[in-house]
Amino acid sequence: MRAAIFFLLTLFYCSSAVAADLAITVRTAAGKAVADAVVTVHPVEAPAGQAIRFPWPLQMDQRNLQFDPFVLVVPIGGQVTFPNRDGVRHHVYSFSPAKRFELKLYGRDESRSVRFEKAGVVALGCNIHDSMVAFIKVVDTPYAAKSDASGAAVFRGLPNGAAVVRIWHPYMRAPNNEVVRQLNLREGAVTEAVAVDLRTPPTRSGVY
Amino acid sequence: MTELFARPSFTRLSTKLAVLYAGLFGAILIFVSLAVFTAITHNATRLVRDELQASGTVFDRIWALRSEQMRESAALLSKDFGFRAAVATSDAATVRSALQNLHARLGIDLAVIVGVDGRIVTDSGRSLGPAAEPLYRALDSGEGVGGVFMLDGMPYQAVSAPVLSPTLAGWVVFAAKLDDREMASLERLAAFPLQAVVLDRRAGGAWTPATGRVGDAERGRVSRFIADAVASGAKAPLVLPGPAGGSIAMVKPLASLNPASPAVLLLRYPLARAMAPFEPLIRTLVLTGAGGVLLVVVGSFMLAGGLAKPITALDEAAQRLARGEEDAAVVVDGRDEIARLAESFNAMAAEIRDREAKMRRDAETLVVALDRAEAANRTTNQFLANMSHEVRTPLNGVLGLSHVLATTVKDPTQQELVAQVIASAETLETLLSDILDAAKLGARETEVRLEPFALDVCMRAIVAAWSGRAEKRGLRLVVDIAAGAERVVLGDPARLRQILDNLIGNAVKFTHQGEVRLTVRAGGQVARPRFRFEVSDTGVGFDLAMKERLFQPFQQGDSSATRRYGGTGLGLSISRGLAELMGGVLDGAPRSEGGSIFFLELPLALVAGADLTQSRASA
Repeated sequence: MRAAIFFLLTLFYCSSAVAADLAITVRTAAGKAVADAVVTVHPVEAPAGQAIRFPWPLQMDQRNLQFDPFVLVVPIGGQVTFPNRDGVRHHVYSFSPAKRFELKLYGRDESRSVRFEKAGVVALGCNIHDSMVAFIKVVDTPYAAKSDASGAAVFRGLPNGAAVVRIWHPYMRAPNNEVVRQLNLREGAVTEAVAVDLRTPPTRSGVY
Repeated sequence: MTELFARPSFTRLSTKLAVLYAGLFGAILIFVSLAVFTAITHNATRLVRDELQASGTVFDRIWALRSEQMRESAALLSKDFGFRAAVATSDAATVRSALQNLHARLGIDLAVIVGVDGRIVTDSGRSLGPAAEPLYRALDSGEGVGGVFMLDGMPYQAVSAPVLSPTLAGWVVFAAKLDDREMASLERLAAFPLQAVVLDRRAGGAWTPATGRVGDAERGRVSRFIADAVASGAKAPLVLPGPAGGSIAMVKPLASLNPASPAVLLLRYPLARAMAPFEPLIRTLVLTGAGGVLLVVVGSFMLAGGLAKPITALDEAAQRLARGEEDAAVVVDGRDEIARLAESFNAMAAEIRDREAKMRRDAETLVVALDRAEAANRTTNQFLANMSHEVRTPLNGVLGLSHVLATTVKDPTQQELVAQVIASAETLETLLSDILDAAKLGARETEVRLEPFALDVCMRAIVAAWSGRAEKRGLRLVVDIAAGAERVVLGDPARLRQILDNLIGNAVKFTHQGEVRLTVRAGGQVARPRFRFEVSDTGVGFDLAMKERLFQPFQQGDSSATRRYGGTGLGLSISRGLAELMGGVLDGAPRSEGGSIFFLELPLALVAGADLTQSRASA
C-alpha cells in the first residue's frame, strides 16, 4: 500500500522572544491520519548536554498478546521496564543493532528492565508470539514527540534558529524509515507537511 | 433416380429363408453386441473416470499432507530463536547448519533461506540459478507461499514460512522433488496403474513432461489437451484422443511459484487397458454370435427344404398336367394351406381330364359330320358339273340347228320364233356355264393359271368388248387406268376378265342412264403389290342390308329384280369365289350419289423387265 504523509509545519506568532512552537500532522496520501510516527527536532545550535527526560513512562507492557505501546520513545540511556500483564509467558527479544537483548520466558506480573545506551531503532518481538511487534526509538534529543491518533505532534518552546526535523515510522517506505526536513524556527508557530509511503505492516496478525 | 442397391434375387425358397433369418438374427446380434459393447465401454469409462477422480483426490491429499508437514517443519525452524537470531544477524554458517540438519532429519530434498533482501542461502550451498528470481518474487508478493517451481528441469513442491525477527527477515523454503519415484508412489496408491506425469510450460510454449513419461508421438496431443483443459478449467476427467480409443485423462493444475512457468499433474489411463478385462466377454459374445448365425442358416435351409417339398411336388404335377400325362395328381400330406392347395390342384386336374375327354368326343363327332357334309357337297357339285356337261351337248345341238334354221326360214314370224329359240338357248347356255363354274368352285376344281400379261391391254380389251352393248343402252363406258397400274403382271387374265365381265355386265344391266366406269389403281407394298379394280355405275344401286345376299348364290338384290333384269344370280358368288381363289377380295357398296361400286383387290406379282410387246401379244 502506498502511503503518504502530509507534514504540516505551522508557524505561529509567539510573544516569547526565545521560543518557537512547531505543529506537525502526519497523514497518508489518502488523508488518513498516521499515528505512532516519531518526530524529533535537532536544533543546529544544540543546548548544553543535560539529562533528557520525557513526561511518559519508560515502560513497554505486554497486554492481550500485544506490546503496548506500539512505539515507545526513549531517551538515550533510559531504562525501560517490560511488565508482563498476560496470563502467558513471553520471550521478548531484539536483534536490532541499536540494542540486542533477550528476556527469557517470564510470566504474569513479572517485569524485566533494559537500559538503552545507543540512539536508534530497536525492533521488539516475542519468540512465542510472532504477532507481537513493537518498536523502541532511542533518541538523543530532548525534543521528541509521537503523533497521536489524528497524526499530530506538537512542540512548544523550541529554541529559535535552524533545526533538523526527522519524522520516523517503523513502516515508512523511505531510507531508514524516516524523512528529514531542514527548518528555520523563529518566534511564532511553524507548520509543514511532507508526504511519504507506508508499507503494509507485515505479520501484524501473524502467519497462521 | 438410379437404383442404389440391386435388389438381390434368390431363386430358391431355402436361400431366401436362410438369408432372411440369418439377416434378422445378424441384425439382432449386432444390435445386442452394440448395446453390450456400449454398456461395457460406458462402464469401463465410468470406472476409469471415478478412479481418476479418486486418484486426483488422493493426490490432493498427499499434496496437502506433505505441504502441511513441510510447512510445519519450516514454521518450527523459522520460530527457533537461535535460527531467528542467525537470520537476523546474517549468520550464514549457522543458518546452513540448521538447514542441513532439517534436510537430513525430515527427508526433504531442498531447504533454502531467502532473505527479504533477495540473498539466498541453501542447505547444500548450491545456487538456485534462474529459479531464484521467480522464487523470490513469489515469496515477496505474499506469505506462506506453497507451490511448484522448476530447478534444473525438475519440479519441486515447495512451501515457505516467514522468518520474523520480529519484522520480516526472510523465508524458510522447504521443497520436495516431484520425481519419477513420486509419480510411481502415486500410481501405486491408485487402483489402476495410472500414468502420472508432471508437465510444465516454459515461455508460453508447449507442455513438456518434467517427470514421468509421455511418448514422443503423443506429446503434441497431450500438450493441446492440457492447454484446452487449463483454458476451460475442466475439473472432471476427459477423453484424451489417441490410438486404441485414447485415454481418460485428468489435468490437475499445480500452484506454480513462477507464473511464467505453470505446471500441471496429468493423470492418464488408456481406455484399451480399461477394456482388457472385458475382452473374454466380447470374445465369447462374438463366438456365440457366429455359431448362432451358422445354426440359423442350417436350420432355415432345413426348414425351407421341408416347406418347399410339397410346393415342388405341386410344380412337378402341374408340369405333368401341362404335358397331358395321365397321372397328374399330387400326394396330399397334412392339412395345412399347401395341402389344401394340393387337394384343389388334384380336383382341378381331374376336372381338366374329364373336360378334355368330352371335348375330344365332341370333336370326333363333328369331324365325322363334316366329312359327311363335304362328301355330300362334292357329290352334288360333281353331279352338277356332269349334268351341265351332259346338258350342254344337246343344247349345243339345239343352238347349232337353230342358227341353221334361222338362215333357212324366210317367213318373218318364223324368223322371230327362231330368234326366240336362239335367245332362250343362249340364256340356258350361260346358266349352264355359271352352274358349272359354281359347281367347280364348290368342288374346288377350279384352277388358276399364272401367266404374264399387260394389265392395261387386258382392261381395254374387256371394255372394248362391252362398248357395243353400252352404246346400245345409251351409256358411257369409261376406263381409267392409273399410271402405276400400266404394268406387266403375273396372274390369270382369264379369271380376272371373268370377274370384271361379270361386274361390268351387272353395271350395264342395272344402269339406265349415265356411265359405267372401270378404274384400276396400283397399291400395296413394293414387295407384295396389290391392284384395285373398281367398277362403278350410276344405276339402281342397292341397300346395305341387301349386300350380303348379293354375294350368295342364286340371289339378287330383291326377288323382283330377277323378273325385271333376268340372270341367274350366280355371277357375284362365282366372282367372289374366283377372287378369293386368287388371294383377293371382292366387295361392293352403294354410292352415296346413287348407283353402286364394286371393287376387286388382287395381289399380282410384277414381272420385272418384261417386254410390253410380248405381254401384249400373250394377253
